[in-house]
Order: sequence, then structure tokens, then C-alpha cells
Amino acid sequence: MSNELQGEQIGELRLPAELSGPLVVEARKSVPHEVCGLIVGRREANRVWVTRTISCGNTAPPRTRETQFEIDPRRLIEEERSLRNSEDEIVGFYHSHPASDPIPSMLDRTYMALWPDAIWVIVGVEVEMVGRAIRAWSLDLADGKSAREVQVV
Amino acid sequence: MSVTVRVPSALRKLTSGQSELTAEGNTVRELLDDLGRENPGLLERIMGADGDIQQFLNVFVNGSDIRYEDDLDTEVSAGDEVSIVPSIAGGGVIEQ
Repeated sequence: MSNELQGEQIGELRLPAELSGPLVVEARKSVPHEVCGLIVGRREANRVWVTRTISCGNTAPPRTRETQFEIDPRRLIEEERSLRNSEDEIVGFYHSHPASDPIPSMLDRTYMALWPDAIWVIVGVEVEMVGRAIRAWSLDLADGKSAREVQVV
Repeated sequence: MSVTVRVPSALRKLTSGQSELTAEGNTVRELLDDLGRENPGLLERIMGADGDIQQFLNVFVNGSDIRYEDDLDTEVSAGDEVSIVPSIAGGGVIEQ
């Protein structure tokens, strides 16, 4: 896939503690399965402000839910419809990695490549390994296929 | 026939900032062909290079997944709500 992407890379994700805390709780409660959801927020220059998260069922095949997630695309359509007259929009997605670092896997990067303007928040459960439970990523627009870390503040 | 196609806001880089596009066609295939001509980045990134719909792209006409209708030959008419949404998936698969 060639690089046809332009525009500014997302530089910073503002994720208030009252929104990030529940993500970690949800991720830990659901071990060994992955949890997932939509992230609602606002864009301001190259910053994204999270205003809400929407937990969605993991629709990956049941046997794979320990290492995979999937969000029903109809859920995104419904939520975007309800946001049509709002300043908020769906800015990205979150999911948990119950047994690995909150770093995009090869599978994650395959799907990130389809969403050049989305923020991908990954919630680690085994946080002792990495020190931080929540890390955010977006597609690297320079090559259109690797993941680039976005600072969470 | 002119049909409105909704695209998620998180794809706006591929559509010159638009989340609602207008495309011409009587079937989903014709709509996608027309969208691809107008938005080559969209075509390349979320549709197959051969112009065929790829497995990661979901198309809904009035809320119905076209895989359960006539797929790309599903007919569309003015006033239909067509949405295209790439799959949202991934996961912490342990890599060897």
C-alpha cells in the first residue's frame, strides 16, 4: 500500500483520569477476555480530547476472545448517528491486552491501517511489565502501516 | 442516481474532511466505483486494489449488511442510507 496519507499526525491524547480509570477496571474484570469500545471526543489542531468512552461487546468468535476483539460496525454507525448534531465525534477505539503489553500487535496494525485518523487506546492488564496501563497509538502517516505512539496526558 | 454515502469521521483524511459523500450508481458496486474515482485514497486503503470490495470493509444499506443481501449487486436508490465502515478489530495476539 503506498503512502497517500496527508495531514497532521495526532500529537496528544487528553484522557482524564475519571475516564481512564474505568477502562482499566473494565479490562481487569474481563480477564482473560479482551474488552473493547468506542472513544468519543473532540479534535483541536493535533490534539484529541476524550469526552466519553462507550463499552461495546467483543464480537470476535468466542474461542478467540482471549487474544482478539471485534466491534460490530453497526454500533459505530448508531453512535455516529446520535452524535450528528454534536461537537463530539468518534475519534477512535480502545481494547485490552489481557496477557501482553499495551503495544499494537501485528493484528492491531493490520486494522489500524484501515483507520488513518483514529486513535487506538490499548489497556494493559499486566502493567507491572511496562509501568503504564494505558497507551495510545495512531497509524504512522509517513509509511501508512506502522504504529506511532501518542502521548497520553 | 445520486446516493448519499456516510463515512465514519475517523476516515476523514481519505475523504477531504467529508463524512457524507455523494456518489452515483444504481448498485453498491457502482457507488463504490464512483467513490473510488473521486477519492482515490479511500479506494486504495479500504477497498481492494482490484476494485472489488475487500474482506475488511462493511457496507450497509438502510442498516442491512450487503453480505446478506445481494452483496455488491445490492440495488440502491435515492434516499437510501448507505454506510461504509472498515472492520474494527485486532487484539493482543502473542507473536512468536
